[in-house]
Amino acid sequence: VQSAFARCVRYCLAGALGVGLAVVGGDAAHAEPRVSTFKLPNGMDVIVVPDHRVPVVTHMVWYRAGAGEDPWGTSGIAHFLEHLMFKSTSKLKSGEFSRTITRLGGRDNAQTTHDTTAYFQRVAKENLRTVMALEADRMVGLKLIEEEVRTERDVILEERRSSVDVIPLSILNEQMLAALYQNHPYGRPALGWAPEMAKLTRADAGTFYRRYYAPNNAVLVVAGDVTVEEVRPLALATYGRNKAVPALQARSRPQEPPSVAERRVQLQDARAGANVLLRYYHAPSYASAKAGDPERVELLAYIVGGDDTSRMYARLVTGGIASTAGTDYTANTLDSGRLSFVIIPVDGVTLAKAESELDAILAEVRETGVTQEELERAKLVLEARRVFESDNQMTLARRYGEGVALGRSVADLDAQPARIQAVTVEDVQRVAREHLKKQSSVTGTVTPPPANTTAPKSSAEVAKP
Amino acid sequence: VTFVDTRSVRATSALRWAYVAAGLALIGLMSETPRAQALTVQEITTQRGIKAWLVEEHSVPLISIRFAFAGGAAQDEAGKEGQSSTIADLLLEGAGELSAATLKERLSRLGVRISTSSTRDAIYGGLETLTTRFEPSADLLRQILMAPRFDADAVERVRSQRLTDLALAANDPRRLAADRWYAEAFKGHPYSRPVDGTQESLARLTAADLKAQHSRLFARDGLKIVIVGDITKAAAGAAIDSIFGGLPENAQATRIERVEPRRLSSPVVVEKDQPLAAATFGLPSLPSSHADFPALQVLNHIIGSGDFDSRLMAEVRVKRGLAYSIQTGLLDDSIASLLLGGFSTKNETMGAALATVRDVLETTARNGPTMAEFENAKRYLLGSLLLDFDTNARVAASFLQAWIRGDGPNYLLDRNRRIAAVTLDDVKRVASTVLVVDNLAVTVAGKPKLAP
Repeated sequence: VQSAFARCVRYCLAGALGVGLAVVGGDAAHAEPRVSTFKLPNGMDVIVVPDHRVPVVTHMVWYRAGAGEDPWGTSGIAHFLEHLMFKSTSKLKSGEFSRTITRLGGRDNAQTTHDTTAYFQRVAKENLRTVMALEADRMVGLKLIEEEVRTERDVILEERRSSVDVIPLSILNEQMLAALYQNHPYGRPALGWAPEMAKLTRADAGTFYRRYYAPNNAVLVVAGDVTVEEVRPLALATYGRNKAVPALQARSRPQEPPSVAERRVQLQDARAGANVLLRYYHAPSYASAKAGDPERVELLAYIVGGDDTSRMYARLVTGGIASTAGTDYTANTLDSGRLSFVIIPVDGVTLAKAESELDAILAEVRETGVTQEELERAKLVLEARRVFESDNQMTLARRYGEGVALGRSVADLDAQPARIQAVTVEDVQRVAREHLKKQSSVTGTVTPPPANTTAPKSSAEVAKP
Repeated sequence: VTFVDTRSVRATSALRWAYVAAGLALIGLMSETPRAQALTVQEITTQRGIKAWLVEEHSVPLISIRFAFAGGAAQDEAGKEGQSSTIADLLLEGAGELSAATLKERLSRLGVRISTSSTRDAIYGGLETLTTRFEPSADLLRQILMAPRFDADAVERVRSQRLTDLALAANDPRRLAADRWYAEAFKGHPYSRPVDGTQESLARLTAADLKAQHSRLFARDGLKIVIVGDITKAAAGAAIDSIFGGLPENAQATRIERVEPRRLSSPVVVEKDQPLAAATFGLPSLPSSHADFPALQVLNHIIGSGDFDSRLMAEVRVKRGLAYSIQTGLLDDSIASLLLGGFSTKNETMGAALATVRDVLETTARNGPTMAEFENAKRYLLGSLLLDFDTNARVAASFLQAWIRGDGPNYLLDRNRRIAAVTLDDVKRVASTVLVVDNLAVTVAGKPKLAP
């Protein structure tokens, strides 16, 4: 799951016109894969996504644990453990996992979100068994060595510095999430808070590992030039040997109380190059909302600010009020989702003016809804995006791996296009009324300090010959 | 920009998932695989005499076009930096009879993806569409390239967006170090011009400047086109003629001499009040036409692939925990050939990290890689070639880069033959000639402590 900041950067720094692909039903159907699922005796879920165009496989393991499971006081431990998974196991020396993948001509990587931790590799088909054996080994055989843990802790602190601490928008995003979620762990950064990260220990990582890394808490996805008949014996021979953790409990995290007061976060930062307005609303997620609502919000978000044909673009950018204006919808989460808006006003337009324009656009959609024409075009675009997604093995593997790890079924994931087609203009207006409520929002601004109070810092350039 | 065999950052946080490279890996001879057979390039010459590369791939109902016009930021007029990249943005802001809003709505309804961008030596473009929507999509692309409007309101809108982009990036140490690197290493040469322009130069650009530059650079002689997907040779030829055939025959580009980066005896610092410092370092390197280029690719993988056991990553991140990632890449275009790297670290540890980088480069220049490193790098480069050849769009982009680099339509096989022929002695020789620390140019942004 991309952070709102990453998306913000995309709005702010990319500038490319994102238009989708309009298709008729036949084309979309052509692109959809036939997915199989089964369960190993130890409880591990397996998903096979056939794609026989190339003799290659994408292999992923998704754990149903992420930064949302970080125990209080140890924020960042899920992500830290993900880094340590590339170190030693009882069978492998530090770094040998990735070295083996590279020697096979493959690539590997990993990611941690609040809801999942995922590891993936892409290799030639004949190397699938090797990769499965390696990944099954580190599911149960991780060896945490004190010295490696200490050095890697410096790396995650450096990661935090370079991806958050130097970028005012990223800091604002973190502060806004902390305000939006008063009780839910989504309010803590997945990377962790720096003072807690600096104290993370080998024991913290070991406890998290033993508690959550188990076949009955994991989803395996193999996408590519394989059949379910080929994957089943390989999965049994590798992951099938790992013992289930019987004490594993159902996921239950602190719940967010109903939001009753609108919140504001104001960041003044000398490094801010422009005034930026962000607004986040609590919104439904695919895993937790009633069926159909996330699709309605997807369409709402697209119509209001999805691209250069949106309402926000027409009124704010074409209207000369903002240089950037758009929406984003985070819906692939376990608990609540989030609907985000960004506006960067042009010089001479205040943030207050930008905010009142945003409020007017949202009031209009609440009061009069969207047009049939807007809705039909939005459906075409979302359907088209799905076709391009389905052309990409990696994206497909993610769709099913993450979806099932979040508790959704393959049938539910595959029903998404049909649910989008079924949305009406009344539905869109209803979700706008339900979710675009000020009392469940956070408004954030970042500004440079007023000119007369700033020391002239961060501007000198010194050339040292 | 031609980054050869640069691997994605081993990114592990949620923030960086977007950068994860997707790809596919094949071991063995590609000619034995069905995909490689499908990746046969046909060189075509259209009725109007335009040359293009075509890869027919009928299994998915999609067509991708990638093309490049020679030119780019190095052709921008002095004081009007950002001209080419502004043109690239404005192409999608209205064409022929179509206003910006109408054009964008047409593109959206067709579901075609058209994108344009500029680098230092070329202006790139691409189109991706369903086969069934190809004809109207191609017609929109024709108008976009032939008849951009540069309407006054669109020029102002794009100017405002680009000024905001610059302002947002203005204090990012990584961006500052990289921009300053080009400014210092190519001081006085057009290659130093910032692709995105400056606050001052963008403020100065007029619609007339943009129109003039468009008519100078958008021509058939500096044009390379690759088409991949569900299309026949005859249809591809006709489409190319209809899209590009109306462009003037010859561009009026300024001739730009090739140039090597200057050495800098000590790091040039851009002072910024930030909690970390970012460094860019670079060396003159070899053009891809050079006989030793494949050996250089092997060497680059060994020192800077970004794998945990690549030399820079092992010393700077794994052993010392100084940086989240450190990588090098080979950049090679019509003007310069570079080995370029970068990383960020705490201000206090910048000196120590730079000393480590110098030490890695020196040691490798002196002793070369080990046999194991050499063999592993070759295995990876041979096995992973097709990582960038999975979807049609990526096939088209990868072949376009190969063509621009001067490779032929047999690139896939030729490239692996050349890599396979590299010996350890070749890599040692290239290491001693390219990794000369006295030739280094280093720029740093932040408040670094430079003593190790």
